Amino acid sequence: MQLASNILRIRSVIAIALTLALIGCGLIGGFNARALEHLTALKANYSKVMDTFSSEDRAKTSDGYSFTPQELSLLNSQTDAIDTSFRQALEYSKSLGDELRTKNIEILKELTVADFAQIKKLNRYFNPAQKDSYTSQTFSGFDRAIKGECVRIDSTCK
Amino acid sequence: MDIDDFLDEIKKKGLDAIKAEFKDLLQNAESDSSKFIRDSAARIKKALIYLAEGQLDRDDIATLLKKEKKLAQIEANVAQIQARVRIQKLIYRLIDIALDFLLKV
Repeated sequence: MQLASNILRIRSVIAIALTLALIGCGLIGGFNARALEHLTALKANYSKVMDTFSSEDRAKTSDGYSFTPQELSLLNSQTDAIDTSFRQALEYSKSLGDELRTKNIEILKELTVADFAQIKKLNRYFNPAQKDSYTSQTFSGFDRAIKGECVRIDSTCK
Repeated sequence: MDIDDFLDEIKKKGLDAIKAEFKDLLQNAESDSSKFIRDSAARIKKALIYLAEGQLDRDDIATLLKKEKKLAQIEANVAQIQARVRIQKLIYRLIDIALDFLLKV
């Protein structure tokens, strides 16, 4: 009787282990504080660049304003720094083995690159309407990606 | 329909027909049950007002619409994460109960 009970228990544990292994294929990674830090830092740095390169006065095309070599150099160095931060965030995310987290960072990188490319193409400051339109979209992307981190198991954020 | 298809359609259809279709889609999106779709519609509408006021140009609008498509991808990814987390929490709870039961038998 005891032997039958033990066999039943062992079979049950094996069944649970197999179930766990199957679930493992679709498992989502738990909350990761460093991944969240990457996202918030990237958002802050992006925000800083957009603040720096938006200006009502220096955005008027009628004035024929274009970036000075110093302004262009500052823009390039700031966007290069963000590019490096994105590469670090992506490498770290890949090391965690969660495809959805990595995809979100890749898309965020594309969104910020599109904004910076537009400023560089114009070769002048964004006007307030441009700043509003471009940043509201990209901020929304960051906020949703941050939400995607905060909904994970053992999260310390909301 | 993505932005490229939409722009191709403009070439085929009359501009008025496209305008009416776009307006109809935008109105539907503004009252959608999904917050993301409502926010997206509000952003597009605002950008079009800026365009009418001459504060944005067509190049801006094309870039912004392409970006909206990318935002939808993030939204879909986050929805997938939320769904998987819910299932995972449920399965973990079931396993905890099962193990607890086995150990007590």
